[in-house]
Amino acid sequence: MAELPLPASETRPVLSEDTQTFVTFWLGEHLFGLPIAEVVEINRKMEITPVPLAPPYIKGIINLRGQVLTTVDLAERLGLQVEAPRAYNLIVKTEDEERISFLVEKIGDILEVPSKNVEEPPERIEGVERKFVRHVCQLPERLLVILNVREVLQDSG
Amino acid sequence: MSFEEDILQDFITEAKESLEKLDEEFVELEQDPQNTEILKSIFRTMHTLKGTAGFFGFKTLEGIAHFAEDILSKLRDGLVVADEEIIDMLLQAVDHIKAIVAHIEEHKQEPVEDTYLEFLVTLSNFADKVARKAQGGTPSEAPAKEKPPAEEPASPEKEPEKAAQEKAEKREEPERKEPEKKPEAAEVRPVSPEPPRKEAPKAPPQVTLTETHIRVDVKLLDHLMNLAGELVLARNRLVQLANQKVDPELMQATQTLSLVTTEMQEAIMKTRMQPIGNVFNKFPRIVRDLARSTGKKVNLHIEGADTELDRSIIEAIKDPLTHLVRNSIDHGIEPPEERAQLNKPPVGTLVMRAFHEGGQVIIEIEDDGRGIDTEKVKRKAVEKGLITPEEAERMSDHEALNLIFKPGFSTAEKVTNISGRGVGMDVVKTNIERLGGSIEIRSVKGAGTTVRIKIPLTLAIVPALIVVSGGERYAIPQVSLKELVNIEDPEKEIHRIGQSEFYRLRGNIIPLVRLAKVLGQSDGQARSLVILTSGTMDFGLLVDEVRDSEEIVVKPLDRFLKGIPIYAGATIMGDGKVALILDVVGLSRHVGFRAEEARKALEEEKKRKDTSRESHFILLFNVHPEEQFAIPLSLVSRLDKIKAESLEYVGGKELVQYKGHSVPVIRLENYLPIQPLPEQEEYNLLLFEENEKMVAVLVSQILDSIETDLELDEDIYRTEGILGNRIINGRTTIFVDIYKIIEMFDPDWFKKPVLEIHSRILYAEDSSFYAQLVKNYLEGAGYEVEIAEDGVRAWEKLQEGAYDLLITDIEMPRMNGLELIKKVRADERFRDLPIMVLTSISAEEVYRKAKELGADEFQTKLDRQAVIEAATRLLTAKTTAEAAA
Repeated sequence: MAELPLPASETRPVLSEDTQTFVTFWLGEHLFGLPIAEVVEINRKMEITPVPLAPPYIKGIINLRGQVLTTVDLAERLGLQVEAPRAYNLIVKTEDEERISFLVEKIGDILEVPSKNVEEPPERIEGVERKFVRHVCQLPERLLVILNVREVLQDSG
Repeated sequence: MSFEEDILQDFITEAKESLEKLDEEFVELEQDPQNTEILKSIFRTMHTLKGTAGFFGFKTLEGIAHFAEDILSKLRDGLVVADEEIIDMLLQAVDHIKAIVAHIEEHKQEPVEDTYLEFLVTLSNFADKVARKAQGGTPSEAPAKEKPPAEEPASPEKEPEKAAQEKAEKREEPERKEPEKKPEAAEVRPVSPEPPRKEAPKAPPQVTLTETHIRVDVKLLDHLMNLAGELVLARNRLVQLANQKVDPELMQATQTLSLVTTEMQEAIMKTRMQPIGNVFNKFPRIVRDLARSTGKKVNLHIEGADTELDRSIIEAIKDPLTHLVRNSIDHGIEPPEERAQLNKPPVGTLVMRAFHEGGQVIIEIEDDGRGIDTEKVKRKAVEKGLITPEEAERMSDHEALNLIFKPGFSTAEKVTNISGRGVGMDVVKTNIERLGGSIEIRSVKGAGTTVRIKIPLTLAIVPALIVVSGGERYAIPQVSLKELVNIEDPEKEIHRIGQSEFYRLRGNIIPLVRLAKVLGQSDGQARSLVILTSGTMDFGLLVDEVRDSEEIVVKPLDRFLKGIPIYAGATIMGDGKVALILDVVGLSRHVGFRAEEARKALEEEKKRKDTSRESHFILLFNVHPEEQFAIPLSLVSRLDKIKAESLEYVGGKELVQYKGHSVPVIRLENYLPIQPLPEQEEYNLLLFEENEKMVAVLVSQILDSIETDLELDEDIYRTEGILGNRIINGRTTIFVDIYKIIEMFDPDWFKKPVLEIHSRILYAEDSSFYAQLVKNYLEGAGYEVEIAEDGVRAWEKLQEGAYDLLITDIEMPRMNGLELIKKVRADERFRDLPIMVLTSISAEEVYRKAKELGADEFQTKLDRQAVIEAATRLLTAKTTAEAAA
């Protein structure tokens, strides 16, 4: 298990106003984020046992210290064309304390952003279906897309 | 431990807990006498105690609890306030109850001591006093605070009345039970209407109840179980590593760890084990009620109630068992009058039995009722459209019984409120199978039905076989495993009928499933066959490789993968990687329709075999003692014995005098690559007659004549004069083509018809023996003969080339002779093609059918001469007709 990277200091807001912290990760050109409370841990790519007959975006199951977790290729689930290998397993827990592993390309910084910058998603977001997006947050360089895990896991059960 | 003792033990555990709780709560109450929450809780506890004591018939205990409850109800309703005196009395009651419970634990019965009865009387009087106090409106300051009296003016009146009534009843009961105590009790009451409470202390013996049982949160046990599972995995891995490093000390340490782990795992498993009596003990009541409502008399016998099973399983089998018991009583056991007429005891017997067998638990529910009428079951199934009438006809009793498990089936003529609840046996079956179990039903009409359920001991840790498919490991629970077969030659050993594949295992036909195919992987080598049983059917699973058998810890799959029916869960292997556990029932369903298809095809094949087997008598003989030969008996005209001296050698030919004729002698060794006939004093003769000409085959001994089918292997001897070989009576036996040999002996022996034109005959025949034999003799007669191994092939050949005559067998796979005739006659091109039907035996019925369809001739295969004549006749007629046209 890799330690969560320390928040990058330059992104730390100057004022101690109301903020939210997101774990960010990359899928191709897109930067996604999940509230830090929903992320259990980040692992380097783990050995995945494929599950034939499962939906194509389910890559298989992994052993997380004795617990068997389903592994979802997030890019495939979101319908993104990503060629790069998925190097990380992002272990996420849902509202019902279910754990699931998302395969992502690489892990970004942990970002603390002012709550006021976290906004409802616009009507159209490049490449991602709106239902999968809970919030967006405009960063100086790009848009951070905060995923709606519940929606991502819908229809997959 | 009997299950009665078991529930008693439960009662004691519960009572002890309650008492401990009461102790605490009374102390709390003393500090806060107005706390209704505590009062309510105490009241409930006491009420429960009273109820359970009554259930076990512990009258004194029940009595004490009753009066205590009585007093408590007044406190709870705020009619009196808990003062020190009342609490003291209640605590005394608790002490007495404790003492009684301790006594029960030791002696399994209540103590018969005066002290308890005396206390009961004291308590009763005290309760009266409290009641009067509540009624007489001498409440202390309480009511005002608690509840305004105005709210329920009537209830205080009613309550004590009711209580008094109950009290009277209660008091009578113990008296009836213990008559010798009655006078005493009756006496004491009036004497001490207001017992000083100092009297009491002499009574309550102070007992500390030692805990032998504790209650543990099931979640904790489950957690422990998981941890044990983890430990097993860690152990497995460590053992693997230790095996690589050859270090004796490390080995020793891992071995110890291994042992302890196993023992701990077993111990933890045991904590989850419960006797099946916990479920069985619900049934006496259920059976009694059901018997009453159906007007039947049923005696329930319970056997093996102490058989232990995992908690989760116990819970899960309750409903299926109830359903089965309902069925037995409702459909199985007859009403007493009917039983009397059948010379059965009027009281039916229902046995519920549990026992261990081979690491599994078997539960049987057996009744001596009317059994299951398989005919009725079939009728019902046909009515409901579950099967066709033809299927019903073919069905064995066993198969018919299994119809009961089909969805949408219920045998009851009318739906009763007992069995007909819309829950069928299919649900029972599904539930049992979900537990990794199986269900089986046996029934003798008129004598009763036995339902047998097999379930695993536990669901958490199971022995499993590890197999490999597509490079991944899969675990198969050992429970479903029957045996392993290595496929040496898939071409030969795996048979194919239509889309289905099957394997012949000791005469049984087993449908096959290719795991790779099911999983959507590319087909690997698939050389290992795992024979599995789903409980209702056996099938073979073809996998790439079979590994070891291992104890695996079953981990559930989460909701994303739960819907896939071929997986039962996952497990973590020794190397830390996850492997999927295959669900055998799910797998069998996955291929269900194919299996059904195969079964039908095979049944047909079997039927065909049965019919073609009917009349083949073959004669076994030898020329040299080491070689055995066979020839169809019907070909031989006569058998006889001759002395060696009656053999003559005249004009380069060997002859024998037989009934005034000189008959030429054939020695088989002159025509076949076999060992020669040794010199004998006496020989056996096989005589063949044709057109009043006779020929004799000289052999050493006639061994036997047996009845058999004519499935021959043809690949060993590819020699003229030999049709093939087959093992008979444990010896390889060569089937001799006698016509060919006679022809080799004398090419002019058989009268050849004068053939004006070259004719081609197509002969549809699945038996290679007949195909060869008939082909040979027809070719001997000058015809060109083409063989088709079944109707389908024959039809194909008809498309490819021109034939002047079609000869067909009747019983053939894929397309039989009758179908072939129909197809041929329906086609304009073949309307005038002459057709001859050849059968192994003459069968009027078949001939009639064939004639209706348009066949021209009927002959038996072994009647060489008649077949040739008929062929000539048909071909001549055809030529004539063509010439005329």
